[in-house]
Amino acid sequence: MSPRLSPERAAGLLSPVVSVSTTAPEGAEGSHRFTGQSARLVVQGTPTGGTLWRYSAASNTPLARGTRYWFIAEAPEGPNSRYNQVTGEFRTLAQRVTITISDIHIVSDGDAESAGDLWFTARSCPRLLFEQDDLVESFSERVQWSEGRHAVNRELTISEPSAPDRVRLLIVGIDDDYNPGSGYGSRDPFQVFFSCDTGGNLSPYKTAKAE
Amino acid sequence: MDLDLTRYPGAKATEQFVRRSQPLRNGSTLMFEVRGYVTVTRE
Repeated sequence: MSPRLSPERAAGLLSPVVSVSTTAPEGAEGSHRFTGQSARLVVQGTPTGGTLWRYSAASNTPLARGTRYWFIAEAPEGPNSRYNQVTGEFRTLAQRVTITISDIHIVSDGDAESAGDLWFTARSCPRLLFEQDDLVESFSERVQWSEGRHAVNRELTISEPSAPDRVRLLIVGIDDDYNPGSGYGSRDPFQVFFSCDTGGNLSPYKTAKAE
Repeated sequence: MDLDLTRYPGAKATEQFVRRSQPLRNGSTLMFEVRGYVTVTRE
């Protein structure tokens, strides 16, 4: 935001104060206040000629993505200017990530005498970030693939309104010879392989994982 | 695959990737390579 405030800012000592909040300001015109949590932005000014200055305000820390914010900009009273306040609102951009799996090349299909019976699925950190997990078939249905390249063309799209800046995706391939339901007493076989919180054990048994 | 989405600036950015599973070991018999791309959009 860069409200053009006038005049007599030339001394640089009368910088406006800009605050933002995710809750609307309260109060009467000219004396609005945030009653909830707010953050004060860093304001910098540059002279634009004459007695006019242009100010810009920025946050020291990133604002939440895809979020509605309100702002209050206040210019203090100066020797030749009155106190002034403006309020308004804006929305930060939402960030979305899509992972497209074009194809999977089977280097070893896990079965010496025939095609492998395979299931490919994905896990993420944060957990359940994507709307769907399975890439090729499912826990109960397997695809018979031999070694070579196989088209997938599957998209993983996020289920949240906005994605965090850091995302971990694990693509897991499972051979039908391995029953993941019996693994380590856990119904979710992937709990034994990784954890978003602790990292987990990344040494799978008869299961390959593309990191 | 760890993604730092700040590396994809702008309204839309796309990057291709290739990832190979861990090598066969400890009785593992399945090995594969995944090709695809990441698309980050902001709106």
